[in-house]
Amino acid sequence: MIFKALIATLAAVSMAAPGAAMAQEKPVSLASDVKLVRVIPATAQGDAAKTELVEPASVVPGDTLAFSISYRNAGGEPVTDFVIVNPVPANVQLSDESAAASEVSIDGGKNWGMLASLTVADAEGAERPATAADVTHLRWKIALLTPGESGSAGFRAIVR
Amino acid sequence: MLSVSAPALAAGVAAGTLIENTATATYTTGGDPETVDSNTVSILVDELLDVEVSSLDASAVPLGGGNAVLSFEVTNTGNGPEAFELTVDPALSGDDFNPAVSLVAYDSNGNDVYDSGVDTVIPTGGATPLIDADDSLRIFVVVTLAGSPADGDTGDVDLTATAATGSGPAGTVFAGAGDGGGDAVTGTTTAEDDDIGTVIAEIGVVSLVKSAEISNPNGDDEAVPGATVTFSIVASVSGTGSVDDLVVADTIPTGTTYVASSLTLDSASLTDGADADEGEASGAGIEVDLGTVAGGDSHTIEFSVTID
Repeated sequence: MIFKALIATLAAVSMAAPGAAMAQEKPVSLASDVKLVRVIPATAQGDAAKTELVEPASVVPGDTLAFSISYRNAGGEPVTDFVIVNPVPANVQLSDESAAASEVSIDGGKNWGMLASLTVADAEGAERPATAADVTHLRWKIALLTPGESGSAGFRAIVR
Repeated sequence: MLSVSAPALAAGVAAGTLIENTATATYTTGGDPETVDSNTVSILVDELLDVEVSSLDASAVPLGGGNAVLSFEVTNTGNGPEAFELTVDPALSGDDFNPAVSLVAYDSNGNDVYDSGVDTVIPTGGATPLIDADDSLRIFVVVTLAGSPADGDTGDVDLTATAATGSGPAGTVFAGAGDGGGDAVTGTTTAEDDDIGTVIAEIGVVSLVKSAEISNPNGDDEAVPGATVTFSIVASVSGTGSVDDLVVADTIPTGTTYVASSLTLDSASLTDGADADEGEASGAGIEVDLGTVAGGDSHTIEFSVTID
């Protein structure tokens, strides 16, 4: 997961704008990005294998992509009940780590919970634990974004 | 650039597919509910170049006097349509002999068996037609005997398939060369694979054993004028192979005269004339056409002469 440390910045805020105008300008910005997770193999010198994020120049099935959603309260008012919902993109499978790290839905966003608490009913009515492959949506909740507050959420997924 | 962190998922998403992501946030500010969408990021899936070659022959294919057909399967384990260049190498070490390669063809009528003159021949250095992702194409390598292998000798033939777009260590990128508008990138197979098929020589070895028995009016076996000599020729084929067009001929010895209508094959009479039956005979000699004789079979030819 790539919850970056929340960075508090002092932004120049126009206090003159009335509330209605602020709403139309969407005080909160949301920016989506994607990087390719590149594996750097262990070296003969004893360095363990590690990963780095690179611009996705070439992407093929089996590659892992790191999606990120950066948010920022650019307005002058506090923002409450901030919830980011991200449908899992088509043609990728959520990584097991990401599936377990935030609230998820396996039914298109109707019901939510941690993956370990969710079950899937099969054709015979028996239930099995939900897996990363069942996840349709991810969700992050932040109770309060103060003016100028920013951060990011993200998840990793493997190209099917 | 290798960035694989999961086992290959079948052929995977088709080359040219777009993966797009958009997030949405809801929040409350100043008592009002708000919704904001992120930008949409879009990634084009590039073409993965991967191939697997496997021999389809459960055991060594018998190779006698004619052709042997080795069957292989070339599977496109990448994610886009791809042609594969084929290379055949019959000169491998570790086997007994090197078969001669007559031709390479693919199963163009899709019936899983080689049809001479029907299945499309791939010229030397040529490539298969495009094979769709996750699809296979059956390849036939037709070989004949070469050199002088002994019965039971084996010969190995290697078939290599190489992606026409390119091959190389996993992660080799061919910019802009991928199906669907992106790059082409080699996968874990390096976009090249091979497998070996084996033929086993079935050689038939012919042996002829000739014997003679003499009878004369005196009731003994002295070779005196007037005595009758019955020659017996046993033609045997040994080995696992068969022999085609086996013709046994013998001359009538000088100083003797062929006894008309005495020619027999496996105790059955043959006419002297050159006609529909297997044999013919004259004062000069006899000739019996045994045709194809399988290994382990033998035939006995007899004819008689009188001593002049």
